[in-house]
Amino acid sequence: MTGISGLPSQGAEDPHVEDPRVEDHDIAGIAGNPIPHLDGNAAAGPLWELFRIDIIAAIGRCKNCGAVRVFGEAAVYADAPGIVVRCSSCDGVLLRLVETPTSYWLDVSGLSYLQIDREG
Amino acid sequence: MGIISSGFHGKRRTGNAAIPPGQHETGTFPVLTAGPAPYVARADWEFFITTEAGQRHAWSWDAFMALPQVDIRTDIHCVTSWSKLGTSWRGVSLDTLFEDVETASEFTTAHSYGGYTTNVPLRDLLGGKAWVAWEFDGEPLERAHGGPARLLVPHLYLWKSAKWINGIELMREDIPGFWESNGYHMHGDPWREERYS
Ligand SMILES: [Zn+2]
Repeated sequence: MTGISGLPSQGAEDPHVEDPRVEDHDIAGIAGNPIPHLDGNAAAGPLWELFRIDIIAAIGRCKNCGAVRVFGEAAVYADAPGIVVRCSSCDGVLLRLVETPTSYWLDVSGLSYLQIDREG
Repeated sequence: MGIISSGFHGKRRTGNAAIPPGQHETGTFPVLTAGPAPYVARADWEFFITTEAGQRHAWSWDAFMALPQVDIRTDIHCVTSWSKLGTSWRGVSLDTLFEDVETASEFTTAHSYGGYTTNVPLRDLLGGKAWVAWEFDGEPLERAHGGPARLLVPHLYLWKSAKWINGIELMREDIPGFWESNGYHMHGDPWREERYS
């Protein structure tokens, strides 16, 4: 299986990492975001594998809140059963990508458009 | 992405009858999540069950805590291939919560604060198989792991054990949830390796 290779490891499955609960004690009562996430670069690798398009500089419109932002600014949650890209304005889901042994499943229903510059 | 994790080799207890096929044992409790952890104060927390006929049952945190509490010791299995054996939880059985609920439905959708959903057949929630858990290892369930409370359906892959659980909606048909609509299995039995659709 190819793809996803450029993705930074989150260590989520690595039993040698520190017990995350220790850190959780510190954040348990705090409003905000205790879950680590990455920026749009983390989803660029897998999407490059699929479409050979660099979408980091692409501009997307969030279907949920209407924010128009550069894809690279989105919040990427990669330590899940798939990749989830969320709007950095409203946290709404922009994109989901799941890799199964036989298919990629790509859901872009949270984006009303992606504007991708043509090169040359 | 974590489904196929090259270069990682966990402790493999080949022949351990407690570990489903394709799984390895982990001693930690990895945090896997598809988004930010919602902050839900216990004072604002509610657990609801809605029937296919539109009837609504709901419990505040205090009402929920007044229900019979049980201790659960169980193994849990994540579809990303780790299993954690002998975990300890405390919570309320779904059998207790469904005591006064009249339904002919076979299907449910679990709803979480933050918008996550997952579909679970009702038969997998009843009969001593599922709980709304609020304590892990003797401590209140941390927010990163789904606190104040999460669904616990340990005989299915952990994505069915919805964190930050808000309620259960009885459905007339089986509607795929957050991961099930993106390639994951509608049922998710780790012993049958029901990972993908
Ligand atoms: Zn938005």
